[in-house]
Amino acid sequence: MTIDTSNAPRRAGWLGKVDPTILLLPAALLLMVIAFAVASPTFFSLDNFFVVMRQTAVLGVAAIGATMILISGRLDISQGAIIAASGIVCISLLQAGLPAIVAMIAAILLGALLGLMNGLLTENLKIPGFIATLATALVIRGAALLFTGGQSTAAPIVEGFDLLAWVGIGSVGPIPVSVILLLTLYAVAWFVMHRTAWGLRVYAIGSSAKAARTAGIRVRAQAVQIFIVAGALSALAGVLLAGRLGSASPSNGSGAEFDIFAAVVLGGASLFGGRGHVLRTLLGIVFLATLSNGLVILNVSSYVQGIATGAVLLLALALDRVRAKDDD
Amino acid sequence: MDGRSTRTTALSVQSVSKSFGGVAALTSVNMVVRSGEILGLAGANGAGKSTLINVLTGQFEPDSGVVVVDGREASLDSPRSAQSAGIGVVRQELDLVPHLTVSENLALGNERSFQHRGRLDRDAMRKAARLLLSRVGLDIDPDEQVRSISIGDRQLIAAARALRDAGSVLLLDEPTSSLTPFESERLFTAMRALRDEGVGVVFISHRLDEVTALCSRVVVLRDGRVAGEFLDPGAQLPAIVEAMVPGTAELHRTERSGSLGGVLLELDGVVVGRRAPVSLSVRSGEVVGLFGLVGAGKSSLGRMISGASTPRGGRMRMSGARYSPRDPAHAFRLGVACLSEDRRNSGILPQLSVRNNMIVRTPGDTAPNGVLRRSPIARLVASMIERLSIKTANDQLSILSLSGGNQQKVLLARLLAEDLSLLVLDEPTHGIDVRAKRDLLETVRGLTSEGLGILIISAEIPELLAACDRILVMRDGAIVAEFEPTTATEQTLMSAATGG
Repeated sequence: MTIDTSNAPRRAGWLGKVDPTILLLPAALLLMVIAFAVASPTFFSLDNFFVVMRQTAVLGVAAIGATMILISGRLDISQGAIIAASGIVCISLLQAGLPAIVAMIAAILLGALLGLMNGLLTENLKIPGFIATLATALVIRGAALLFTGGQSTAAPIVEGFDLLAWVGIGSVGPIPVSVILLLTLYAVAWFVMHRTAWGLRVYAIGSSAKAARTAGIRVRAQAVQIFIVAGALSALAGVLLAGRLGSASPSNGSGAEFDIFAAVVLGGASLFGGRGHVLRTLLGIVFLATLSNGLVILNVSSYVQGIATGAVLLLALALDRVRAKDDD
Repeated sequence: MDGRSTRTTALSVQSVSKSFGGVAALTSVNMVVRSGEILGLAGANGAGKSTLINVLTGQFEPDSGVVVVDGREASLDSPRSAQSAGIGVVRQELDLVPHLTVSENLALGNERSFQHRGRLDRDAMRKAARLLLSRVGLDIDPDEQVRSISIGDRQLIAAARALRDAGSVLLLDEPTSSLTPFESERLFTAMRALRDEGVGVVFISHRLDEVTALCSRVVVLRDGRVAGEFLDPGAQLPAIVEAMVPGTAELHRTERSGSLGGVLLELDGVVVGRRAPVSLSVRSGEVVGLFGLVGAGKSSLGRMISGASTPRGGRMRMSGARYSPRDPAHAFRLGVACLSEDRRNSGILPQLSVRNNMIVRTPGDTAPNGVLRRSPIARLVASMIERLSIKTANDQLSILSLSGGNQQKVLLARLLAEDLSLLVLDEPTHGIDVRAKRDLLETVRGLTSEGLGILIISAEIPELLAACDRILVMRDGAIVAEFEPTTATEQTLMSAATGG
């Protein structure tokens, strides 16, 4: 089932030509699945598949926004902090007695607001994205620590149907709700990126901000909107995580931005903007989750997992450099 | 070499040829620079001046031919080898590091010779800097940071650094394009002093008044060949202009198909940068040409009209109403758009397909509620490909797979797909071949029948004569003359633009 998605980006999106390296990631994923399946009998099962997919849900949702950011030629590393802050806001509002739906929407709005802040800092004050979002990430996580006193807060036990828990750990038949949500969001993101004027503009400003401006596109406004969307998606990821854990901690999602970045780049998004594909990001997320899941099942030290992820990322970046040279 | 002078030959270029992808940029060029002379190198855009400089400074390797410096054949395969052969260069874009001091900049590239037990000998650097600065007649503190120094003095510092490398030859590529007349004069004084020291100086400039004032000899390049050599430039000015742009125009004038409408665009005392105010008007159905040399301010004016920059003063009106676009997107909504002179960097969207380059602003009915509609898009793109005869196998190909002329047509199609009333075309035929040029100009003239007003900004006279109803000449940010294309000649336009 993971392999199905590899067919989706067959059309090279806004790219005119099909890149032969496009098949590398699906092929590598397939090989890895076969290798793990041979090495361990428990790996290749439906249960384990859903375990992997559930793990991908949180990062996967945030990675949609990160993909849009990177395609537009921007950089955002505040996802982890927004994941933490939104989870805490969501749980705290539940504790204050608000209905789950309100708490969740409030958390997502907070994420959108933080995204707006990132966007204004990078687009209006022209602070480089890496620095601006590093600073906002520090502020956001600091505020989360201050607000909670460094403690994690548990969701109150709810009688009857609990929407947050349903989203986090519930399932429809055998399929986890979070996985349904993840796949739905990716379908929507694909539509937005490839079937709407908004998506076309994301690619345009990433391809050449100067040319896009000359072509009559409001580059700054577009970029701020992308930051808002990315902030909201990170917040939704934080809500999913809170739902899965039944609690929120200010240390949630720490380092998530690096895993997300790894997945997005692994999915072929260019560090220089203009190129990337949401469905390939999903593939990148699944790849990294499968890698760490397989290594856990095989009882490989978690230190080695870090090395493996880093090595894969380096490989992907090297490939990106080679492709960037081809563009010239 | 030719016995006209007893002075020694500093640099001799012998049948140098260079082509790029089958297009000849230089065809067996011969040129001699003697010690103790200032040689002028003139030519229109694309004549091969920059290519020749790049060959002499080791940026490009020539396909064939020999360069002899000081009687020895030089192998110029890298900028470093050109340096060690004794060729120094001052470029149009300065390559000084703004945050380093003057003496540090002057030591850069040669800093090892100031090293003493792993430390830089600052005193020696200062001393060397003062010596170099005195040769260009500049009296400034070597410890000052370059960013706090005026552009004119920076140009002199760059010349001083070039002198460090220049044993016998100094090349200056459009060094005055961003200088005030006073700053230029100081540079000229320094150049004359160097000449008297026996350096062979090559001066490249669009400004023929400067060339004739400074140079004892002028070599004219045209289409990559030497088109003439002139010994008394002051007296030979008309002949030099004729050699640069020969009177036979390869473009034929197409007659207008509609009649002129009311006044569309009006500029009243608009100030570009720190230059003189500009007033002009374009009528509906009219093609107005704006001619001037590089740096005359015509592109700045175009950017201002299309909303990419804000005028300092004055007023703009469109169809009688106040017109002050905030950005290009706003200008589009007000019916004005620009085809940029810099197709590579501010024209095409390199990673996007032909189709998406054309519809990136989703004009008309292509995405009425934000969702792209396939068949209106396909219809629009197909009609544009047909109308402008764009050569592409299919519209999903990368824009980069198209030739320069066809890329330009795609960008023009992007504008034509919108409901605009005024087009600013900045160097629309830059870097495209003659046939594509003719096609494009004919298309542009055809547009006037729909009532569009068009402002063509160009440094190429034949195309302006072929396409325009009126030609304005710009020099130093001001409009200095207006011509009817039927009575104007390339010579009259060129002398208005150069002040020659």
